[in-house]
Amino acid sequence: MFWGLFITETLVFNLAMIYTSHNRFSLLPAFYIFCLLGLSFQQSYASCSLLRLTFAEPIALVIANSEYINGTIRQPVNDAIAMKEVLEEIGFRVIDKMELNKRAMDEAIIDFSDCLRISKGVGLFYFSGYGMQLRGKNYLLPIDISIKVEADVKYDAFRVDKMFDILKSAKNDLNIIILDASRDNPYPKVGKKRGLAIVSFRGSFIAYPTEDDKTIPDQESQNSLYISTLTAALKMAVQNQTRIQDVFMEVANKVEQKSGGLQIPRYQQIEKQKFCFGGCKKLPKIIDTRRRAKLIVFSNADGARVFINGRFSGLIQNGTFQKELPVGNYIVRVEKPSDISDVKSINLQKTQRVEINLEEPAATTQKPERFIPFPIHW
Amino acid sequence: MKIVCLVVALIVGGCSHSTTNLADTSLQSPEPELEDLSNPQQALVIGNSEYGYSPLTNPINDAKDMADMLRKMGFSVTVETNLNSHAMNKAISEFGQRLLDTQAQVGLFYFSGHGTQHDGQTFLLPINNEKIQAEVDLKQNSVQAKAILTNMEKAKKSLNIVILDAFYKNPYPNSSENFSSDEGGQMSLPRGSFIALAAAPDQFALNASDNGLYTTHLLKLLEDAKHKRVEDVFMEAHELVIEASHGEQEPWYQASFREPFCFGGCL
Repeated sequence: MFWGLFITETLVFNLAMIYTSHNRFSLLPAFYIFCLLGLSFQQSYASCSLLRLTFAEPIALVIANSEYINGTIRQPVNDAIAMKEVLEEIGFRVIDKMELNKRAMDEAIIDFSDCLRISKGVGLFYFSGYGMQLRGKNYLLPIDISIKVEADVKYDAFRVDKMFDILKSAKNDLNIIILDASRDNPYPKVGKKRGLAIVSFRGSFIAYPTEDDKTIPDQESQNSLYISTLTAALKMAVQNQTRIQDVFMEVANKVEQKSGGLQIPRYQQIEKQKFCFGGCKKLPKIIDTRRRAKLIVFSNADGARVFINGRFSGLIQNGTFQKELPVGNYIVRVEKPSDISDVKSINLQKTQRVEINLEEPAATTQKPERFIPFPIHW
Repeated sequence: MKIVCLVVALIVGGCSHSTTNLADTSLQSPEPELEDLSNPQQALVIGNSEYGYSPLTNPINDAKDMADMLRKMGFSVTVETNLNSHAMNKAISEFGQRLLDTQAQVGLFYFSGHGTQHDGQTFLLPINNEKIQAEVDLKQNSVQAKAILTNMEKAKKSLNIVILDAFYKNPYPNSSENFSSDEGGQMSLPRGSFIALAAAPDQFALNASDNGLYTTHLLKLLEDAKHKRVEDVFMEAHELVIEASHGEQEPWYQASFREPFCFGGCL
């Protein structure tokens, strides 16, 4: 229908142009492109289930698989609901799905990717359920899977790489992928390693509830330790405009502490640019407008090295060393290669002369005093 | 008067004594420049160029430039070039010891030279790589990136940074392909560490590109890295490398921090 219309329209357009103008050929390609574009837009955006998306709107896909044919786990549903609530609260449009078989998982991810392709916003994928790793690749288990041999995982589970490939077509800047699937599972052991592997994918931030090759035993609580910590951190993050790695760093520190070191959440960041929840604060550009003053060090130790705040700054030459610095507090140390050194703390306001003479040690070798410099300024 | 003479004599004596002392110490340690062990930032830089098989031109320069830059940024740096497997292992274990002995808070390791991937592990090759003829030789005659990190980890410093500009095709004689393995997966990082590779782990075998591209961009950005977060500097460097190589070379980093780290302190 569309093509029929398109062809007749072009013909009419063509004929009209032949009669009216000589430079009709210059207009034709533009018209063609216009028609083709219209067609491709129609096809590719057809499947996004979220309506009225705005530009740069963040989108989340939350999947909970709990009713596995090998047994039911309760927490994933609770965790997914908690995640959905907090994500909506912080401005994400959420697609939530529960109890998916493999086909439904595929469809959900294509839908997610299509929506991201429209909004070009940040994507967040959260999966709560069982997962496995095989030869360095991560797999998420659909509810209807039965595993007897390695190939069952390879062909019947959802391979995380497939999601990466699908998400590539969305061409958005960042996808946050939370694989909450490092659980003890009731399936027979295939492959050498338990838990999940750490993987990376450009333009993504991938988070795991624990370390690679490790699993978390079932927890009694309503929500898992990881998700209760993460949801709390996400709420705070939007208020404080925290950077994504700081949010997950804090979650890791807290979960490590609360679990007594048994569970240390991990993350792998390959972002293209920095991302903060609630938008990044604009940092004022730091220009050192402070007054500068000259520091002159006199010393009897020619050739000795001068350190300012622990940084090597130059050598004593002809008994002096000078440097212009912003006004402030400094620790100046003069050190000879033979480990003899002396330190002076100064408050530099205007041109200041400081004398640091080094004495050769007495016959008995005395251990030189060390100090730990801490940077006050650069 | 007598007393003055005595004092002068004593001083002269003391001086002559201490000069002999100095001469002794300089004889004992062949390196004239002593490292500042009280510095909270310690670094080891290795550049391997003169390979037995398939020598390289850039690594030595890369190593020297990186060392200069790190010194400018306040690190105490040891530079080693053209190391065989024995020397490489020695340098790395000495560095681990140095971190252990000092009050350093940050340890940084930089390597430029041949590298390879095998069994999901990253290996750095010493200059006597002609010894590596088969897979079995690899473990004996090379250094595992993981071992470096483990070595640094022993000192329990707040942050260990490992930068590997090791990115070459086919660095072995008598083999048409890199040793590859299906058992992929990436290096697992201890907490408080940061590792940056010139190319993504699975690209090691695929791409050949100019060495130096990574280090060149990194050096440029480090120049202006004051108060910047380490991952931001690398993020920026990586975008530049991808652009310059038209997507052929994709650097990669992995971080596991306990707290944010910025060069020269966070604001």
